Amino acid sequence: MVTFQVVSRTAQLTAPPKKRSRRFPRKLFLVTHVVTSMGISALLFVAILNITRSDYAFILLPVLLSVFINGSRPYNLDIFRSSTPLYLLLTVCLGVIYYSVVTEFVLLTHPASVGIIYVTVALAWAIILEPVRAYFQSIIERRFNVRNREAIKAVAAFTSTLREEIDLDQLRERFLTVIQQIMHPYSVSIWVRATVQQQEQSDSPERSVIAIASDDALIAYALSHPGAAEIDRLQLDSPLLQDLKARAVEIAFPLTSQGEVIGLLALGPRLDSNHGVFRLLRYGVIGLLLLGPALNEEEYAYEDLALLNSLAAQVAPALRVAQMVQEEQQQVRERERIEQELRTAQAIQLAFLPKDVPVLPGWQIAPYYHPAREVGGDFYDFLVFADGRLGLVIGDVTGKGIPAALVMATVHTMLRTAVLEMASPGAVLARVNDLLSAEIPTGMFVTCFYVLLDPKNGRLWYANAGHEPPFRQRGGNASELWATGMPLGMMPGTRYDEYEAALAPGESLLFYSDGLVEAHNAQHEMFGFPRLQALLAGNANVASHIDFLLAELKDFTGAGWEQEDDVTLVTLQRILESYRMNEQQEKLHLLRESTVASVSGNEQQAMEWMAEVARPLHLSHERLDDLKTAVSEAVMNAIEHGNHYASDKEVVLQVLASDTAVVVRVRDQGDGKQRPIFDPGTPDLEAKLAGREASRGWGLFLIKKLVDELYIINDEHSHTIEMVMHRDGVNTGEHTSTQEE
Amino acid sequence: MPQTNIRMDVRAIDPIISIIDIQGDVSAAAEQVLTDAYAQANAPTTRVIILNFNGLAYMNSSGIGLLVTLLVRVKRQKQHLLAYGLSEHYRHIFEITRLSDAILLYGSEQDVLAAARAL
Repeated sequence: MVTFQVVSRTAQLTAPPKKRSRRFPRKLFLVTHVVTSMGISALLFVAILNITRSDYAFILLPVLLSVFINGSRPYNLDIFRSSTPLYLLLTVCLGVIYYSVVTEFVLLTHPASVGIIYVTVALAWAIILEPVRAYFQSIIERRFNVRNREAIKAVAAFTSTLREEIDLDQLRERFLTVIQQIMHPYSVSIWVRATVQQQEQSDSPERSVIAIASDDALIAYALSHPGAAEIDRLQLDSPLLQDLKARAVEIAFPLTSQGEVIGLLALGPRLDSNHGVFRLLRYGVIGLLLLGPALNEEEYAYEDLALLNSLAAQVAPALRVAQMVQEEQQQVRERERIEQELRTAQAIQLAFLPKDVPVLPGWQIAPYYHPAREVGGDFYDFLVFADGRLGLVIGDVTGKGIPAALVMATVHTMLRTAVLEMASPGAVLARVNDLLSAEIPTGMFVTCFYVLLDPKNGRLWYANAGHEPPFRQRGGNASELWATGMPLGMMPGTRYDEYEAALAPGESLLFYSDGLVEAHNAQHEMFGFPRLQALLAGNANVASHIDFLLAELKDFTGAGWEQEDDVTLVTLQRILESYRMNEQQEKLHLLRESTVASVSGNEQQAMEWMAEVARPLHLSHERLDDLKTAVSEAVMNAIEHGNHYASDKEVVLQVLASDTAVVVRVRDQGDGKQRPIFDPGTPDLEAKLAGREASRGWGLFLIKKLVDELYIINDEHSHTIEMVMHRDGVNTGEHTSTQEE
Repeated sequence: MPQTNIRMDVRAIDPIISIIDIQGDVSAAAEQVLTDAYAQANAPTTRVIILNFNGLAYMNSSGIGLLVTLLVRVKRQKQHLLAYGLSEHYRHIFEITRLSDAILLYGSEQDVLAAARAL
């Protein structure tokens, strides 16, 4: 389909001109008009003759004839005012000659006749000689260019500034104005191909939008027949043509540029504008003067059409340029509008996401949210209860942009309100569903998974409203925390089943939105649930599931990926208990804390510091040496692998003690990209000697062997090596634990 | 660059035995020094390399890695690597790492020379 924006102007008349037929009815009307005029003229002439009883009354005969044939159309005085004296003189002379010739012919042919025969003969001569008079008059007109003088002035003024006009609206208005000035149509409309935005803004009564088939026969005709098309004369199987006829369009001008129809100029019936001379001229050219029954039913002259042809040829490229400028401006505005809307939607979205992550001893919570360019309505929230329980919500609103962001904000508020009255996930979702169903726009809904966690024992209560169930990771296994339920906002009165589970130390939950699993790569493959599940199951020991999954997603989608939807990830992990977490935690107290810069060799400084701090603890000489070496190794590890020898980064050392143990923690600062530290096991000396393994890689092994217990804690940003030395001097045996926070 | 606090002197006891006297820290910074010392000690007739740890101030896992590298080179040359003078702590570390299985440890220079000549 081709869509045109139509701008119309209609003359301010109480009623539009009558639609007239162009063929037989026009001639019939013409004859009727002439005969009637002749009859009235004859009756008046006879009456005047009877009253005056003078032969001079015959002089009045041509005058009466002209007056009645011309009817209500007085001579166009403007023409006379704007004409030259010579033109007026010639016109008057022609009139005198015409009158004289008619009179002479009457006298010569019927010198003795009187009465009705005389009148009839006079009228007959007048009619016979009128074409001759009109012919000579047209010569005079052409010679002095009287008829189009004003029109040409208007056209010249218009075309002189045509190249400077790049505003489509202005150009269109000026074009319509000049058409009105030179053509005097009852209605004129210009159709210009519409942009999408113009199609959307078609509510203006003066600027409607019309869609026509691109293969409409009239379009093809317009391309093959440049110039004006007289609508009434065309016989095409064209819905557009029928439409134009129904709109009383008489002339249609295709506006073409580079072989493409970019617009259409449609002119309705012509209005008379007192162009008396013009009418006379037209009689000579197309013979319509005597057939015009009413002033407002004139046809357009060939000169008009020729002028329009010329004008259209100049306007069409200008229109195209202006149209392109407008399209570009609209695109710029549209881009700005979209960008503003995107910023607004993102601002709404971010405003309702939690600013802080709850800190729960023994638990690690990490959120990640990255909106798509067009915000997708993802959300998550943490609801902290007074009794220490934690509510964790993740959801997704259908739709995008500001509407989705607003619904997200609404749901966020409803959830927070609902949990003030109840904690049960099923009841909370049911309440929010009921509230939301009354307010959510048609066709929108919200998926949501709500988990209530008791951090003391790891118990979970949860309910699902159509969201992807989180994956539960246990060792090398990943399974869904299955629950089902209708999305929020779809059906009021929905009940949500509540489920219960428990997370053991070391287990974790990954909540996610469909932006992750529905991401596509360049081969149109979807990331998918199976891939996610396999990645989680096969990579239980990664330091950060979020960083790991994002890296996997990046690898999967490849460079240049345009994010299709929001990506939201929330991990909830119950961390393995380290020494600090066990029952002796309360008895531990911090002895000293220090830092060393990440410079090679500073591990010896740390070692000496350790010796000094441990002196009051009365460790045996051997165990103190072991602890010093272990600390040295841990610090060296932090300098090299955690802080990458960045001298501005520090290694933090803490020494804690209880009656039975000394705990030393060594923590690096990391760079957010570090790989997790794992227990490397026992190095294979034979393999190293045989060159199958690197000769290095003894550090953690040494630490593990030198202290009684070793805990490696990998969190999002750093590594902590926690070494425990029992004060009773009894090495309880090898104990190593690696955990990721 | 790692600071170097290491010195290694080579003593050729006889055409077969060379002793490397280690003074300071055996850490990653000692790599070049150890390489040079071995090059100096490694005469065509040398069959035994002895490390004298009496002057050892500090050794870490990187230093252990250097010793493993040295051990690989010595083995390639069909030589023996012996050591003496290690403190109890570092003997413990040699045992933990099983380096003591590959580098036989002795208490004194006399003991190690006797063992070397017996090879």
